[in-house]
Amino acid sequence: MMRVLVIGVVVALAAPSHADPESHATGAWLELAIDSNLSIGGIDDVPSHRLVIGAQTESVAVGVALGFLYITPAWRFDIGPTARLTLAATPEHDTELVGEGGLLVSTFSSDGPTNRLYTFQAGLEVRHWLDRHLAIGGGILGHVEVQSTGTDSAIGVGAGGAFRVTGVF
Amino acid sequence: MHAESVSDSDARGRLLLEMPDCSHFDPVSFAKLKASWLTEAIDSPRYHRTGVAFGVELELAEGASGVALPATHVFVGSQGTTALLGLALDLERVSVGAMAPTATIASVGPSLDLTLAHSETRRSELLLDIAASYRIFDQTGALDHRITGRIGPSFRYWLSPSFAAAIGANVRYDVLADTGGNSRTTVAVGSALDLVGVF
Repeated sequence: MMRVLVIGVVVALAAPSHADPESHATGAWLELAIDSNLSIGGIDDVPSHRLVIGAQTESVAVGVALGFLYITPAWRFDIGPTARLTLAATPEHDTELVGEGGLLVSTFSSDGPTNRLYTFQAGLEVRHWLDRHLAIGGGILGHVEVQSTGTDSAIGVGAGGAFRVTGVF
Repeated sequence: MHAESVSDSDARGRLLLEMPDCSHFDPVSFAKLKASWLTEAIDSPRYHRTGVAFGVELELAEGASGVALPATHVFVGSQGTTALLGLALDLERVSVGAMAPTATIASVGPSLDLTLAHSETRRSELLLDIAASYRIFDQTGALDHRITGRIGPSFRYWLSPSFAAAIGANVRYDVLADTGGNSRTTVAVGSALDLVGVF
């Protein structure tokens, strides 16, 4: 009887993992990112660091990105919404092709008040889930930066690589 | 009574679940099964999946034509049993000339990763990376043409059949000519980190 009970428990515990095709957990989403940025015109050649906090579902993640840039001799904080959409995945769902988009707005600069910067970002990333809660990825990211100076605005464009670590809890 | 004597598969399955003692351990069959599995694993032509590959590479080069920031190479191609052939888009920061010290350049060209050796499990591989690219855009417009060739070894590890990470070194050769008719060639050494997914 005890043996049947043990087997039943094992089968019950194993069943959900077979029935559930997703490879990663869903819930609170935390991402650490380093983006290189090469100017194509009118934008600073500086890598940026980002922390994203949000929610991850099976194929979509939305959150708030907190950006940090050091542009000699000052540093700057940005904040804004960001989203990830799974465009393709392997049958095991452990490797995904992910589209990315977001907007960052400058909030604070160490060298005092500056003109507000709006940075639009879009990119493509390959992401691999090492287990249900942790993923690593890399891709390419394009940046369009709009700086408003009173009635005028200046536009800068850049692109570069992006590397990130993702956790879902 | 042994489970093997029950011909109906459903009944045999229920019997094995409810009365596991009916399944006796056969060491000969187990040894055969284990041997065939090992042979299959070793003789298998690959560990990884084959198909459409998408990857990104971050490269740091010293002594090249003024590469001051990490260069990004993004590629799309086909991963086969022993080779990955693709088309790469390169974004790099290079020195163009005295009037325009540095500029962002976008280039495209073919890339080939050839497997030279692998471990028994075929998850670890030694690769030979070969790539060439031609400038399609430069920030200043001062370049007439730029051709780059890269070659070098790398080590690649498949974290799963569909995703791998690699670290490598390369020697790169650049031929640049600006619109003023000045040309030069440079040789540099670089290192790179690759991530690739196969779908």
